[in-house]
Amino acid sequence: MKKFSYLIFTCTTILILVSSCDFLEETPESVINSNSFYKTESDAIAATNAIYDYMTVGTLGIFDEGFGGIFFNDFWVFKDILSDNCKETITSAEYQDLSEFKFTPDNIRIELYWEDLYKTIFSANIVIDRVPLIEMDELKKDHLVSEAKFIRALMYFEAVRLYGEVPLLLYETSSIGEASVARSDIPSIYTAIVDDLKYSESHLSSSFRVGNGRPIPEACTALLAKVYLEMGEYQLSSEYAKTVMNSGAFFLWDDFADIFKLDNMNSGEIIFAANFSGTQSQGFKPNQYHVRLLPPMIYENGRSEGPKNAWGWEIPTDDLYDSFNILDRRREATFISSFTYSDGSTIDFDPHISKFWDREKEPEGNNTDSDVVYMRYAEIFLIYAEALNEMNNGPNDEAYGAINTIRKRARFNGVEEQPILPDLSGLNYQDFKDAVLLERRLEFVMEGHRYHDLVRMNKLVEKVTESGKENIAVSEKHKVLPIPQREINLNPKLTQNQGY
Amino acid sequence: MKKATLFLFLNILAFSLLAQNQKISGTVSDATGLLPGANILALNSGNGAVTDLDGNFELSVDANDILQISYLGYQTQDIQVNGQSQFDIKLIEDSNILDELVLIGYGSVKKSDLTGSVSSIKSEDLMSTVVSSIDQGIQGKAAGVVVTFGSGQPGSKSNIRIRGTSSIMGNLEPLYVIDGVPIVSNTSNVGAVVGPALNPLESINSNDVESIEILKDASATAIYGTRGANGVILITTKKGKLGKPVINLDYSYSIQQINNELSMLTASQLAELGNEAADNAGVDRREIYASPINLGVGTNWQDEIFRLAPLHNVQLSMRGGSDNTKYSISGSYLNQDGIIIGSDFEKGTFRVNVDQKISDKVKVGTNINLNRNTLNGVITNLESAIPSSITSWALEFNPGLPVFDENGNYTYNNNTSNPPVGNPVEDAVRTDQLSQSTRITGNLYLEWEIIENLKFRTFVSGDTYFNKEKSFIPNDVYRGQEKGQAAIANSEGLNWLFENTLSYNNIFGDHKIDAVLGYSMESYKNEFLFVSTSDFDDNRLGYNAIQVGAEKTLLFNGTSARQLQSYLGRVNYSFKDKYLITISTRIDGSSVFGEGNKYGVFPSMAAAWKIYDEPFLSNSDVISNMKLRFGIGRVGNQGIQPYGSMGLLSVTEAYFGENDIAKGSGPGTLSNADLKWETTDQIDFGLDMGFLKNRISLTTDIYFKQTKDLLLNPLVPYTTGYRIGLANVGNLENKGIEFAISSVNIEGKNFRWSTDFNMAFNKNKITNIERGEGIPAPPMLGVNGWSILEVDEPIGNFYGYESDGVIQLTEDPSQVPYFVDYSPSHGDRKYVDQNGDGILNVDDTVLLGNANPDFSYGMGNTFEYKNWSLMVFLSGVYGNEIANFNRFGLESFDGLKNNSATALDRWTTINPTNDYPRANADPRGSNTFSDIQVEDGSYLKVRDITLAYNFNTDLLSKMNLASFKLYLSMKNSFVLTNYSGYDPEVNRFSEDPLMSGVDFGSYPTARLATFGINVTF
Repeated sequence: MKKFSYLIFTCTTILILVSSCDFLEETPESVINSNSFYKTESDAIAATNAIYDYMTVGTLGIFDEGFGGIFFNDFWVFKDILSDNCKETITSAEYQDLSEFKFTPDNIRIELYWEDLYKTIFSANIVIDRVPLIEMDELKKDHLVSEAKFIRALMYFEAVRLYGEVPLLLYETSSIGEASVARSDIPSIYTAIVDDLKYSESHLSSSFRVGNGRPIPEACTALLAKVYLEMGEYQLSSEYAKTVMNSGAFFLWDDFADIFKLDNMNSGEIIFAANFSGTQSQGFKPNQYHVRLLPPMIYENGRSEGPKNAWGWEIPTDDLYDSFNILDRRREATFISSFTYSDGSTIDFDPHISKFWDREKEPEGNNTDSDVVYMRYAEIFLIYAEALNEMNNGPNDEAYGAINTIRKRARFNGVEEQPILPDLSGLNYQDFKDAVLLERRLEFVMEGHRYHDLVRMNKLVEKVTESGKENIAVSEKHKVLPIPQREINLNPKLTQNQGY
Repeated sequence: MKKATLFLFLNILAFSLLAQNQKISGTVSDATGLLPGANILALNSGNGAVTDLDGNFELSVDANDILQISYLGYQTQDIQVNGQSQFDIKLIEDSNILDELVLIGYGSVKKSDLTGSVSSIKSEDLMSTVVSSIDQGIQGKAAGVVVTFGSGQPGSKSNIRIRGTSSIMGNLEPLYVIDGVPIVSNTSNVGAVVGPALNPLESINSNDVESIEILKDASATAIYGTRGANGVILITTKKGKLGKPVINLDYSYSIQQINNELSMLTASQLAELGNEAADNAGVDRREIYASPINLGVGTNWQDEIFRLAPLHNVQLSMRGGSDNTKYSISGSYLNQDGIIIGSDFEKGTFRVNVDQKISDKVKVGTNINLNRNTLNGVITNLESAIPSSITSWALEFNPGLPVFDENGNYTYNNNTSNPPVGNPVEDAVRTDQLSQSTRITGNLYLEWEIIENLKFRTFVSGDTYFNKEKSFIPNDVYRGQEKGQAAIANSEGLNWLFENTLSYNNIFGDHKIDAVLGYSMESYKNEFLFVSTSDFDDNRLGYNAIQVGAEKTLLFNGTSARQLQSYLGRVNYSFKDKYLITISTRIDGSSVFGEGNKYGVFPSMAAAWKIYDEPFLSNSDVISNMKLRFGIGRVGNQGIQPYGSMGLLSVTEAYFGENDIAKGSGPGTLSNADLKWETTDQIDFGLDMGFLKNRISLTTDIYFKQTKDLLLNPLVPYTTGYRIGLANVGNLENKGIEFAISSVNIEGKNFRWSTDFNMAFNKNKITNIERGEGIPAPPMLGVNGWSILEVDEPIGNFYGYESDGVIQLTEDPSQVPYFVDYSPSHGDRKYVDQNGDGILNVDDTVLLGNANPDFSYGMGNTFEYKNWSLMVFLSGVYGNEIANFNRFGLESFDGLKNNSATALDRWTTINPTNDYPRANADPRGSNTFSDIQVEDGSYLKVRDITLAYNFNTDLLSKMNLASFKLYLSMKNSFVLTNYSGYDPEVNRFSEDPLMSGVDFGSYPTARLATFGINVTF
């Protein structure tokens, strides 16, 4: 009997001992709990790297309708289909409605863009709040926070231009209630953008994690020039543009056709580009430039040559195509309308946008390594020209100099200058402004500018109506997109934009 | 106090030593003669014996001992020894089963003392429909328990719903407890093989099962706390019995066959259809259809993939015991070919159950089960946008192609179909889909009677499994896409339990108390690994050397764990054996709950009144039993994935330049510190009745179940950084009524006929999902919103268009409302424009049906005539619909793939039918989900007919055999249904309540003819 008494005693003791350690504590081993993260330098780097993923592709599955971050496609698709530049051939209503200005607050693309913006902002907020608490090299710490602030500024700049007043969250929220805030006024949002960019401009390191898709101080300066222009702070805009020009950080390629060559990614003219890699991601995470823009007919012609998995969803309007001088280098470099097969036979088709296609390096187009260019040096010249024209109520010599630099390059066909696009001179304020708008159109097809340019210059309704684009229902309310209905349903503090 | 206890112990000890001093002997018989195998137990000394083949026994007893003589099917008798030494005991047959013990979890009660709703299935009833796993035996046997199989592939998993579906994202399956060990039943494939997962209930040999108790209402399941919401199934295995070793050998051989083949077009009929379809669509005719008549009948691909498949099943057991030791050892081996070529299942089990008395007060025991299963599958149930299943392919494949070409190679491309599929015979034969599982389940207990009526029991158990999945697709099989691919996955897990209970029972005059108090700890951890490669130059080594594949395609592993810590207690109290009350509570702490909600309390109360024992009824001639039951309780569902309450990080990947892969960790899931169990409250009213000396007995229950705090992933504002956040937000309810009737219809000298019938009605309704527009099912074949979870509607609703015949020549097609992207022609199917706006769109969809039956039922009849017995078991469901997605392919009438023979009745100008549209190669509008695909799923199945012959004992005793039985049985032999597919008992996504009632390329169930022989030595 004693034996068993001992046994029972032992059992009970074990029981009490074991249960007193934290038996119900959860300690995941193959996934990371956010509570146990953000402790070391490598955690800080991992958290910062994550921002770039949300910005480019994101973590949703490949069959999810929200697959892809803002730069995956909608950043550049939106701005040109919401304008006189491009029309949609994709049958799904969500893009058709955008192209024809018939979208509602339920439009799924508008909703998913909002999702990507705020997911990226949230991941940036985590870095901005948590990294300063990590014990690590101060310079590196500042640099990582600066990367996050640059991207946060970029996201809010997208948000404020597309949706107008938006919720401004500048810290990591941890609950639904905390994140369900009202919309902030536009000046507050711009103040936050400027603050972030100025911080980044002065804290980005020049030795740690430089470039290759990450911001450098000059990229902050350049973006500030762009932001100030949008804000109507023309003096500041021109000053910042000038600073970029004087920095010597970037240069213009002599030939427009060289800008998007794969070898020139992240160098020369590129100020900031969202980096993608079809090769490194084994085909899972390339951007959609070629899938959406290149013509399907070349490959479908039964020849197994030319771009594979190309759909030609966004195609230029005649109005856009015809606005180029036939000898403008940019027309040739931007569009494709015929293809010569290896046996010498050719196929002709309506113009498609091929400016991002490096035909020599990636003859199949599909699964590309190309990056999505957010800002390139040519824009600084046009910002400078526009800002000076606004400041002085007309162009001065420097403004002419800036725009003519861009026109000069467009005359160069790779061998020599063509007798086209003469240097501008003698224009009044409005004519110069129109000239800048046109130059931007010719220069930046599908680079994420046209909608914003038309809205900024108050020409959206006029230009879209004149373009001859079919079935359009554009009106003044379209200067901003609607706040996604889903967000209003889930956050009662949100109001809808006028007219939606 | 201590002294007093010691004194008591010594007294008991002395008493038991002194008392054991007399030898007795005797016989046990019944009305027809001596009874071998009857149990004799001396209640005071605890000694026991079993009568031998001649009905004799010998036993040592105390002088004033009490003998308890029991035998299954006879009334138990208690006899005072009173110094007597010779006993001739006559047992009386007992149709009264009220004294049987019923397990209720952490204890047992007499059936007549049950306060909750519990269904019991005995081994012999269970086995009638079992092929290899016990869940096959449950269907139709217990009221309110619905079993469905997502696949008919041998060895694949079942889904059991007790009293409706009580969850959406949480656990849906009941808790299985085998000999006190809760088993891990939610194992699923890691993903190297696609299709149904191995059935965890295959891990035990169904012949080892003594009984199954199904705890249905909350007062019965609350003792299982957070795991009680879907009911609890207690499985008890056969233990050793006092007496000489009894050896039983059973061998059966079965032939399995597909129930019915679908009627498809011949090669020439398909060619005619194809030509007509091309003409109607204005496209070129296909060359292969150039001369339909020359094509003839062609290949029947169903005949090519289906086969007559044998099944061998051997069982061997030995059970016996002495006064102190009881043992049971058994082994089994099953080898089953599937009815589809290239599929088979192999299972072996080995079990040891030992109980050892160490002293009068202390007992120890162990149960150990070893199991190895190998499932060799073919592709069915592959998740994909196109039908990806051997069965779908066999139906769609061009009958104009032979299996082999003139060179003896498999015909390769199916040039009819878009997207093309491979040769189904080749895929079945040449690709590999292997799942292997090794499982060890064991427990050890020690029971100590501390003082009289107070018992302490400590129990340790482990359930561990090692699963392996292997797949290989050679590079020259169509699905290999010219590269071939191989994958290997491992998963293993261990669930251990440490449980301590104190139980006390005593009688104080009219008061009887039976109480249990316990503490338990349980921990489960699993890990998995997946690797795959592709691009094989050489197919020979297959999955045994996946490094032959040049490209590493995917590689991941992971682990997760969960712990449960519980306190439990229950008191059964009865007054005058007429008024019964049960109160139980379990406090469960679970690791998966959020920080703020670690512990949940699950109380229950039940009361019963044995009205029959009141004086005013006890003299009734007609009524022989009457008991009223009422129970109320709260149970939970802890079906939260481990770490579900935490904010987990996602692995991210970005690129800096061309060569720098930047791995990162970003926000993945929104944390929810308040996350907790789903709570189900249930009320149950029950009435048990017996008539004519309990020759007829009736049990009926009415219940109402309300589930709140349903786990769902409600949408959250994107400003949180997330799209969804797991939270307890929904409510649903189930209510129903159940009947079970048993009756002995005829009881003659040589002939006996008895019937068991049960029937259950359940209604399910979602009362809240905190999400405006409902939760749609994932799209199937491009159809969105075919099933949606909506407030005030039951789970499993189908939504789609209402068909309205075919556009006839007398009509103007341009006036027929249609989808915006298609202009209809004569012969196209019409749909009702519900809102009359002139176009068909999602606003015109209506409710087309529901996957849940109005009621389910089962009926077993047993006829015994002399040595013959015949068992007929039927079961069925009524009032449910099936979404038959196979019909999109079978009735596409596009000439791109083979179609059902209904295509012969298609609309043409000379056959202006309203039943079937015209042939048309233009696929637009052809994936319209309508009442055409939603079919009545009601059925009545003859699940089992078994005819058995028991040889005469006289004859056998000369051969030293205790019994010898031959049996013939037919399982699933006949189905009465209007359903057009292979089998109405189909539920392709049975594990997902969002996608209930779908038929889509499943592995069909087989019918079996079995011959068996059973010998007892």
